[in-house]
Amino acid sequence: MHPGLALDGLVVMALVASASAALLSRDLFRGVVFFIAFGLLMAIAWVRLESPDLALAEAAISAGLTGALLLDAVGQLRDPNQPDERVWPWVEGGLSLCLLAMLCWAILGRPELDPGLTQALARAMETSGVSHEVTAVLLNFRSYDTFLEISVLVGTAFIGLALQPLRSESRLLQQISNPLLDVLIAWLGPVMVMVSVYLLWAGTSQPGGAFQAGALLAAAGVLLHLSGVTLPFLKPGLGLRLCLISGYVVFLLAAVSGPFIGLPLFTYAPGTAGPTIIIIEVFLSLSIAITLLSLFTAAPPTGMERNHGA
Amino acid sequence: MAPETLYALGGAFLFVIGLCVMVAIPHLLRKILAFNVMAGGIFLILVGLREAGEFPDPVPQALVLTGIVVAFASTALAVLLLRRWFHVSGRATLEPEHAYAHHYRYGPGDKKPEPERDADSGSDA
Repeated sequence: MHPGLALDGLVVMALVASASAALLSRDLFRGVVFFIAFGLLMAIAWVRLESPDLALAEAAISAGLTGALLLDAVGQLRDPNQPDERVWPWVEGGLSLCLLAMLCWAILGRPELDPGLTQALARAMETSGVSHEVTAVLLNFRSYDTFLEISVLVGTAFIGLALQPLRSESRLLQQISNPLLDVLIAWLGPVMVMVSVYLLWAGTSQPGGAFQAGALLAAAGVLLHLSGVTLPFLKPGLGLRLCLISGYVVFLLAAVSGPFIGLPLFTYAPGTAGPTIIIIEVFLSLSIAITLLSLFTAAPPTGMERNHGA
Repeated sequence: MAPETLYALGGAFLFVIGLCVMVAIPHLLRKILAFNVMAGGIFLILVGLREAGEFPDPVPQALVLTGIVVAFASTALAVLLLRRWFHVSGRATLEPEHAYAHHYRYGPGDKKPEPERDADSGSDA
């Protein structure tokens, strides 16, 4: 019996319980709160699975940003006369149970896994320019996937901005005149920016990297936005557009710099991999932060909803 | 049983629960929540299927990291679309109106239906 198995069993049971509570509770607000708890439990699960990068990203993005986004949405979508959805789905439930049985059978009965790419990766790490494996995979060996990801992010940012209502002033949230909140923002804001820069720099040799740094910056921006502080750089304009596409453009330039010196696409010049990765990561985290932040703030503002509940 | 397999099985549970709710419940925000739970389940399966006690494989970790960020972007866009839909139509589902007609709220110019039992529901015109 593995020594940590009891803890892992508890974590898995808590995951399933919080997910069920999030999805099946009657009150939508309670469901979203359970979803935030689910995100934090997932971060614990990643720590148990020895993936600290994933734990950082899950806590910042899934529990933090997604939770804030959904809480914001629940506040606007509140419909007190919510129809009773207690129709028990027999057909879907039965089919889901069959699918669950098949998945469990597949997971438990899998053949011996080969070591995968770990040994090839360990051999290639000296040429990667960084000393942390996940960063090396993300920004050097599988940089094509990361490039596609930043393209997806830029695409969603532009769709989100296109869906903004025509009244283009930033949301005038009521100024919450709370001295505790003011002090908290004054202290937390700079600390979050500092920690995000540290995460970006530390990603080369420890868990961290562009995504976690970008998510933390976006979280700082969301905190400011929800406290009523207007963020002038989020107005649609040249500055916003430049920030959004900077990550994509820098990555593209780094990718096509290979063919100019006779190497394949997405291959960095020998010896320059380290600095190239740092430069890409800086612009990538800036782009990710602005993208996630503008997706958050692009929703229709309070008061324009047709059925505000209060 | 190795702990990683336990997490993979938990991931399978999460995926199936999310899938069932996504298909069965018509409210759009619950579908978005279910989508996120499904994504979490798949990530757990991806990272959980590895040799017990071996060095953690960085390649699935990189894939899942990408997946977490893209899942958030998709969720944000979905919530944005949902709020625009709510702003335009007044409903949070895609079901046709008559299914929830007795709860539908009307604007100033619309014809009100027969009076409801609870008097406070249609009061904000």
